[in-house]
Amino acid sequence: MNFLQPIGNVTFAFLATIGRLIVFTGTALLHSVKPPFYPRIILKQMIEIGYFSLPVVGLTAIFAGMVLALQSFTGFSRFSAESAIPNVVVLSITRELGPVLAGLMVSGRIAASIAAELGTMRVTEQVDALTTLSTNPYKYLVAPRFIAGITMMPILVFIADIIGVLGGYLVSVYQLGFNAANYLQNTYDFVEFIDVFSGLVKAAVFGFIITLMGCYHGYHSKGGAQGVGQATTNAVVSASILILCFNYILTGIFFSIDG
Amino acid sequence: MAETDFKISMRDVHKQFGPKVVLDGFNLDIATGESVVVIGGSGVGKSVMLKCLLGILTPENGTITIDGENIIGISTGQRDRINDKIGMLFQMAALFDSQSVWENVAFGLMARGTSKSDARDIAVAKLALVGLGSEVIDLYPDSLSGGMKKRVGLARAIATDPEIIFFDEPTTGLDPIMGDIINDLIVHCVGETGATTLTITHDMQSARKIADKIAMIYDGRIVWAGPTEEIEQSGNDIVTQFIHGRIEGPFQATAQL
Repeated sequence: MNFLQPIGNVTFAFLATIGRLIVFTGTALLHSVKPPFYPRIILKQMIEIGYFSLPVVGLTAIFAGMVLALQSFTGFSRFSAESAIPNVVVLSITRELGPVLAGLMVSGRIAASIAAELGTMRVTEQVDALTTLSTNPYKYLVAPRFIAGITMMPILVFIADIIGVLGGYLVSVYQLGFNAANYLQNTYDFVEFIDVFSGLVKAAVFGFIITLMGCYHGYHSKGGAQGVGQATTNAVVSASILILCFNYILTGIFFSIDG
Repeated sequence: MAETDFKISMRDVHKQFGPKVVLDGFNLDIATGESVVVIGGSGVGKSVMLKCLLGILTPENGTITIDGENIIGISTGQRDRINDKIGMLFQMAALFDSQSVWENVAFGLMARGTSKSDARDIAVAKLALVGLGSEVIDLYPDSLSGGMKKRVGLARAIATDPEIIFFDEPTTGLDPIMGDIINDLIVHCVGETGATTLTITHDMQSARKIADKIAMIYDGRIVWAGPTEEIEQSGNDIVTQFIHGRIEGPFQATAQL
């Protein structure tokens, strides 16, 4: 029966982690809506998550749009449907590629950064120091990052949508010979509110996931430099996987609404 | 005496992590204005005891009171009120990397509603009290030496004029001269504020200088406590071995683990 022991241990450890995560999420959300707030720190986090992520998200979006136009042309030209390229580009970018690629890129940048910062604060007792200085660590460290993540990701993705469509436009017009005015008119006529809105809702959820994973793993890191490194890896991996899982779930929900 | 007669009282406190028992019926009483030093080897539960007092860890059993008020299982608001009475110097100072020296010192003041300019003035005064001049106030912790970090940590601990100050290994990582300077500063600052203090250390020189009373923790409980001047005649083999740093004695079994 000894083989059951490791299975039991793993199961209990998994359940304990889920429990800790639920309690952490609940506590952090509560402190995110309950005053006092720290506007200066929220603003700083918004700049860190939103403004400083713009280059990486913008580059990802423009190349995604360009590749999408080229690949679509390869496929659609086989059955003379090249005119659908503007539609495919805008639909793919706004509904899927914009939020998912931005989410994954911001996850690599921000979840890692949050986990490393909070993890270092944890192992150097700075989090304990906050408690002794009458400052709630959830309110001071976690809530501002939650608020910044949830609000800045939709803005980032909206910009990524525009840049991604621009990437498709550039390739289509200057490499594939599309008429510029027709391309833009087709894009504008085809895109619907729900296409953009669904992508922005996804972005807000991904912003929540990224900051949650960064804060959770950083806050619970232990064991010095190795522990902080482990927390950083766990934050990025778990955020990326959860983004892909929730992307499917949200796509399913919007699919049923559309239907 | 009843636990309500003391500033800080820990009675029959038990704390364990999995199968490892760290505090096993721990008792300690500290009177108002008293300076108590808890000594003990590494890993015997000194920091855990301090974290239980700070509310960072919750003991499984026992009572902990501050000013007669039980602090186990209290709400966040009640805990904040208790923490308003407390200052803490951490082992490695635990200064906030993202904030300048004066912002670190003024952090607790601003958290309690003091205006930024008043908090800065108080921070400058407290930094002067620990021997740091205006040239360091705008520096960041990564540009300070270990001794300077300890001084800033001390200034932060006394910034709000707390009724209680905890010192976690105040001289660890410092050379003997800097260690003695920190000891003098602690005695001086505590004298200025009249605070009740609890220090944990394994530095006997530090303990003798800071303490009115010394308590020795071993195996999760206090095995001896008494006035500083009586520790040499404690009559306790564990205390005698520890304060003289001898390898042989009852402490050996733990050391070999």
